[in-house]
Amino acid sequence: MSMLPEIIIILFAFLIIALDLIFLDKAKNYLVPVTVVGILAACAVLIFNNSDTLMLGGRFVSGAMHLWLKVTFLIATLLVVILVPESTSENLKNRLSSVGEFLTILLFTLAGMMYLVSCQDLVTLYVSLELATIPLMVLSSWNRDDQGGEGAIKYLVIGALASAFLLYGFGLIYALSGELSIPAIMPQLTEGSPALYLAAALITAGIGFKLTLFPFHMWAPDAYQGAPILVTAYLSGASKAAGLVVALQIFYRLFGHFIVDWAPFVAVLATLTMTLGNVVAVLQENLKRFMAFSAISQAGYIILGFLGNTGADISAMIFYMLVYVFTNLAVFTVLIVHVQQTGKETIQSLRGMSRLNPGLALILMIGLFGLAGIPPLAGFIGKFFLFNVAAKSGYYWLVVLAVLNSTVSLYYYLRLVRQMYIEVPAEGDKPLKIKPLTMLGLGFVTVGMLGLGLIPYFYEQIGRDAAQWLAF
Amino acid sequence: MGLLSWLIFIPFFTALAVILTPQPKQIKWVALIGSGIHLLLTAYTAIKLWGVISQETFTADVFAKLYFTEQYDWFKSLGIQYMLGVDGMSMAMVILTSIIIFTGVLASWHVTERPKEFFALLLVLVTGVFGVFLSFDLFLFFMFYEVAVLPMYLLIGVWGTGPKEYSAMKLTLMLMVGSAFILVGLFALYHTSGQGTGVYSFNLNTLASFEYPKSMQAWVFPMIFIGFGILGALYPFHTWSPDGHASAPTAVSMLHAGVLMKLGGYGALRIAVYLLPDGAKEWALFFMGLTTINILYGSFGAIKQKDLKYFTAYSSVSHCGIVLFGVATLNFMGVKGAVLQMFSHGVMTGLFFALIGMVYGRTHTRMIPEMGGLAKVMPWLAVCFYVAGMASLGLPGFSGFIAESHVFIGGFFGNAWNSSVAMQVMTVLATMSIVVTAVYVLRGLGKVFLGPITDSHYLSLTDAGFTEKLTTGILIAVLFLVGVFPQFLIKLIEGSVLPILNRLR
Amino acid sequence: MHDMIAYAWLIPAFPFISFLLIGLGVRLYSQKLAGIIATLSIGASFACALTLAITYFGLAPDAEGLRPTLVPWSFIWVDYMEGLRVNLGILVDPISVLLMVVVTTVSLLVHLYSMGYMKGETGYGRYFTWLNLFTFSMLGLVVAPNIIQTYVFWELVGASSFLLIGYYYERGAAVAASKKAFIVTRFADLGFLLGIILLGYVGYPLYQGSGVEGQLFDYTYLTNPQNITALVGTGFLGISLLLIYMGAAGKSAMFPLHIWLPDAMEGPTPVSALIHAATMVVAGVYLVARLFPLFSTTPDVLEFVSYVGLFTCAFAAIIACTQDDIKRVLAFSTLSQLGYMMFALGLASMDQPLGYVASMFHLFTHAFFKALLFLGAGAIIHAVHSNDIWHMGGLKKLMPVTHLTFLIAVLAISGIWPFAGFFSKDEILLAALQGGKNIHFIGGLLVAGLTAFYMARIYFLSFWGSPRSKGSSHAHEAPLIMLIPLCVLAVLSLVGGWVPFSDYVTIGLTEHQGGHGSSIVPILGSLVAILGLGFSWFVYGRGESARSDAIAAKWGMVFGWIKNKFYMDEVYQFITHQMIFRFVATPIAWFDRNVVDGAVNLTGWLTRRASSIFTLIQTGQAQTYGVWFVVGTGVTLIMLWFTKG
Repeated sequence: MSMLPEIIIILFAFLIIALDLIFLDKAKNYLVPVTVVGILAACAVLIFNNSDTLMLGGRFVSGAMHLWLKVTFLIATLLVVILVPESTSENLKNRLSSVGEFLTILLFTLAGMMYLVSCQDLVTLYVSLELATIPLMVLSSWNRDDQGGEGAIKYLVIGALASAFLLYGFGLIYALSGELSIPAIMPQLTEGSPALYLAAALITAGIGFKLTLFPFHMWAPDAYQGAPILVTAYLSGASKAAGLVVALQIFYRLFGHFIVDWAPFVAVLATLTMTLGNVVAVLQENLKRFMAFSAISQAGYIILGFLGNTGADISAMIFYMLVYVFTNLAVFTVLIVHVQQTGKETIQSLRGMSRLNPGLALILMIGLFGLAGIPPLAGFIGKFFLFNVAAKSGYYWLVVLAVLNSTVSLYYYLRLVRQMYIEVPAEGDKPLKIKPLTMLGLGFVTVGMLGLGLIPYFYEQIGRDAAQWLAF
Repeated sequence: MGLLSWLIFIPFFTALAVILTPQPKQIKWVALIGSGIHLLLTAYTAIKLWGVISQETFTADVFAKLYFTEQYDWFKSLGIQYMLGVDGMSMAMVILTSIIIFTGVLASWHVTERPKEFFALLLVLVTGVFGVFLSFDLFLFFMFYEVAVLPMYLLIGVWGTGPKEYSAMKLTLMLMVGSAFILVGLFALYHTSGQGTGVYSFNLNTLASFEYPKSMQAWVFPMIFIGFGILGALYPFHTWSPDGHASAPTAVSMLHAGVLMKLGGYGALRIAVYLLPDGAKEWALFFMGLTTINILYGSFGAIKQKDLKYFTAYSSVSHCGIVLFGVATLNFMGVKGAVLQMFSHGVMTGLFFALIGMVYGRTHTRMIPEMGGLAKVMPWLAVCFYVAGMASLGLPGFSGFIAESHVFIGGFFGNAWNSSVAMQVMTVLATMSIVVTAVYVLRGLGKVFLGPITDSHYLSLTDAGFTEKLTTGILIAVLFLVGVFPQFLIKLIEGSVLPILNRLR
Repeated sequence: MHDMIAYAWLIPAFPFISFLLIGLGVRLYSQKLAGIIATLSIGASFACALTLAITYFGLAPDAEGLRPTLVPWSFIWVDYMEGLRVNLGILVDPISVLLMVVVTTVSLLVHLYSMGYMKGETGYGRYFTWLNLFTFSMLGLVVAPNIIQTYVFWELVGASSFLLIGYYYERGAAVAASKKAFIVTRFADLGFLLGIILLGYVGYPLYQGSGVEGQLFDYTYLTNPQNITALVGTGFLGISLLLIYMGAAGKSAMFPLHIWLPDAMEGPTPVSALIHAATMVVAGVYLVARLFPLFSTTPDVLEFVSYVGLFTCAFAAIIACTQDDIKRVLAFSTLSQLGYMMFALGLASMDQPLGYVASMFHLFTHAFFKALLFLGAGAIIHAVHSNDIWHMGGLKKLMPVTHLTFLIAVLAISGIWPFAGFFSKDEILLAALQGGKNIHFIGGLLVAGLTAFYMARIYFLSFWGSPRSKGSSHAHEAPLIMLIPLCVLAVLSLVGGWVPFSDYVTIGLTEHQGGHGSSIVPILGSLVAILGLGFSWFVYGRGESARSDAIAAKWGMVFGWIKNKFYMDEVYQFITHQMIFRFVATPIAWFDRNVVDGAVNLTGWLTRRASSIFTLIQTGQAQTYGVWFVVGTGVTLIMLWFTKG
């Protein structure tokens, strides 16, 4: 029963709802531990009896490759769930209300993402994609203030547009190939008919929305800024990972034959996304909007992987995604603690953090350097392998641009470091109090940032699984 | 953990130890003991290496002979290894760095503001530098290279003076742009040799075994050379160094000017010239011209400087120009001179910045016009300053002369691929810098130390304390020893320089 | 005794050891002890030099009367390339032994004299440290077996003279003078270094093929005949020798590069006596003598050397007549005598070596009486506390011993018969006559007269007539320790002339050394000298300035020009400060701060501008996002279509 982990997640989602309804406020502080147990159970099941089996008539498959992706989602969600108590403690200004519903919806998105990984045919792909996206729209309006609402609405409107485009694309593909299951479609789509290009364009738009690529990223800054910082973390981390999974499924499994000659297009898209994301982030003042543009620029780096079509290129992308999720969550954890407790969201509000709580400041700095791609952190090694893919397919100019972009990104990440280390704390700032659970999460994430890069096992293993998955 | 891994990671473990020490009082002692142990280990390795090298004759081999190598697979699928080794050239650089960090710690004895982070960052920076000098896998080399660059931001940003954020940011960004060029060069090397031989590897000697096509070398060589040149203060890209050094605290500018700028020269030689001989032949004349401007521009620029640190920064731009000039000569004496100049200038600038720190600690001003007649009050510092000045203008008896004479004779003797007349004209221009250096050194030091005391309350200033005397003593002893008995260093370096030149033929 | 040659390295070693000893240790404990140790070390070095001279000149000269050049001791210093090795060592040959004796003698006497002269100075120990360093570097230069070692110690000599001139570092003038001296000589050394490199570049291919033992830069290699013919073949020899001569001209203060010597008088007088009279300034002449076989193959370079020498000789003598500061007069007189030595060398050639011998002889004698003049002047200044000769007067009775020794020195330099100057100057004039160089002969004669005139001038103004200032009225004789050196030097000035110089120091063909045959030269020389003395007596005899003011008034503008040393200092000042600093250094400093730095800041500014423009795209309305979305899809379609190819 390879779908067991997904089922566990959905069961726990309903369990949370039930507990919340039955015990009302008595169960409030049990909800988070229950969710954690649920996710860990799913993780355990996933890791220990992982077999290459087909289910539901070939619509659901789980193999070694899928393990990596699902584990990424589970860990990302786990880390966000751990931080929920941070945002719900009494004395906070913008407390997170109705925790039960929040956790349930979160688990639904998680289930959606896990289905997304294992789906084999277009319909399941579409349904799981919607299951992964729509709850996020709900979550992003959780603050119920006008800014939250505005962000969510934009997210919804553009999201609807994107999923419509995606559906039309799938329709065209079905028309062209007469098949629904992805492995069957691949051999059908060989010659480049106009309909195929239209379908490809439409699908690229849909994926572009999810991965926040250049022309399709407009919604992201406002949605990220409107959503509570907890959701912003999840949006920029897990949801981008989901976008990559969809992109991998489609570009490598559907349009496998064409990916090589689309390399110039991918290069242009990557350049635009990177440059825009980095350049605009230079002047940002609001932390959440700042992280939004940083996420957009990271998306630009990730799609560099699409320039090649071997197992190594996919592993470079997936490895960088794994590293990015860890590093992003490390940065967000500290920001969440800071924003929740101080209520201020500007970069200046980080003033003198290194003097108030040096540990947090150090981890945030390491996280930012990881995002900027500074050794010995995994971010550097991930970026190095991505640029290696671009260099292998001869795009040296793109590598120069990418590295210059990461230098610009270093500039705006250093703006935060400057506030923390060089500026003196404003009077009246008190050190932030951190709960033990958050401390644990922080430790895990920091070890992840350093370990993922230095220990070769992860990259090598992902490389082997990716090669095997591509041949599947 | 082999000998070389210890050499790299002792400063790192000291940094950890520094973070864990409770009272601020002990921090500097822990750092000192750490760098002291490192100095001893470096000496031990140097003597052991000298024992091995003096027996061998290096005539025809075309690959860098490495000693005490450690080789473990890291990312096997991409051909990345944890590969350490040492040869004459890198040993000389390790000795230099070890001396500079030891004296650097001594020179920052009176850092009171957040000493823990200061010494930790300083030692992490040095770990990166040692890593670069000892690693022979280009991925590892690049990783340590960037580790060495990053702590500079915080060190200058937090403990610096003057427009510290601006100069720290400018410095970090310009060096990162430099590493951008280097990275692209590395990828070009990796993929061309990979497609050529089918073996994808970042190991320096495997990359060297492949004969790169001329067209590829034509654009990759300048890319890598400029990438390293930016750190080695190549002419148009040197602007970060005056601001960076002027705002940096003493130990940081000692380490940066003394050691980090040598990474540029070392990298240009070890990677650009070693792996891309045809590219080197093609571009040598261009870069020689650029570095001649570098030399004269730096020395002329230093004449009218008002701030002592800018004065020394411009002088080190000029001396680093001599390093890259030596590399661009592409003949035995020139390249050997370049490595000698790296060593000698490293020690010299370390001494200069240490002394400026000491003077600044007393007079609280670095403006040359504001100071005068200090020799009466601080004779020891005045004598040391003059020794450093004399060494920097190439007075024989100090290491400066040995290095500069090598480079200038090498430049004049020219090489088989470039027009010797052009090289000779450029060498003559470069040699003129010894006069200009004499002018600005004597003008600057004369104004600060000699003549009547301009400011009455300077009379109460004290002369050098014990730690300061130790710092300056060690550095001057090194300058003097290399100046009078250069054979040890020359023999050490010759072995490692020959393969680079054999590949050129 | 014979092994003294093997232990020749002791001579430079003693001052070096005492330099380190005093400099690092003794100076801090007792100043007086430092002085004693310094003098003792020079004494020991002097003793060794003397025994070396005796043993060396004891050896029988070979067939053509030339003495052997030996390199008893040397160690490998730097290995530039496999064919280019540089050793540090000792070279023993006639002129190096001569120079060793002269340097150690004068240095010893100056050390003794300084113990008295510098008593009570604050930096007493520091003074002796630098003096020992100077003596060590000078000896190192003298014994150098190869041209690189000469350059090395050349620079060290320049540095120690910088330190010694700048001894009174609290006086701005002394600091400026020391800086000027170092920079001018450094500029000349640039030529010297370029000359060496060019010589090496030209000689290396020849040397590599020949398989000769010994190194390319060794003097033994450079001066042996068949190597020279090979070097001449290359055609670059002339230029490299010219450049090397530039170095020599800088150090021996020949015409264009002489400006630093008069200012170097800011240093203590014993320093001027040692450095700027007897030893350092002679280094240039010594270098040209050392490379003489090479120089002789390029007659036009020698021609140039002789004319520059002659011009400097006349130029300096004229200026000397108008100076009021006694040390400036002596400085210009040194310039003039150096001009003599240089143009004597310029006249000589391998088959007519009389000029070479005369130059060396003049170097030998000049060292003694010029040192005596300076020390005498030092004693006067010490007593009168002023350098200006118009403040002196009537010291004949008050300072008898100084007066007598000073008189001997004045007569010696003027070339009066029994004294040393007569013989050496006469030999130079003879060499000029024999060489057929009439201009040099006449020029030499005139300058001899001028020398006599200005020397007598300072003698009369300082010793005769009545004391013209309070200081000179109750001047008292110098202490004994200062008088002993004066007397020794006086004796040497007397005896020096009689030394049969030519059978010790010679070069090339030695037969027709005869020289003394034609007697008109000595007569003419003495006549001119006496005439000079007489005219000076006539003008300054009574010690007041009536007559000299009259002459000054008559000559008017010309006299003003000469007095201000033809405004050479102002010209140099103008070139360096106005021209180089204003039009080169400041623009570069400005260019760097604004243009190059500006470019970097520009990139920063551009990024921020681009950033503010791009943020405009985020209008905040969902409609624009939708439009971007759809337009984006359209563009993607078109791009995919084009990549269909």
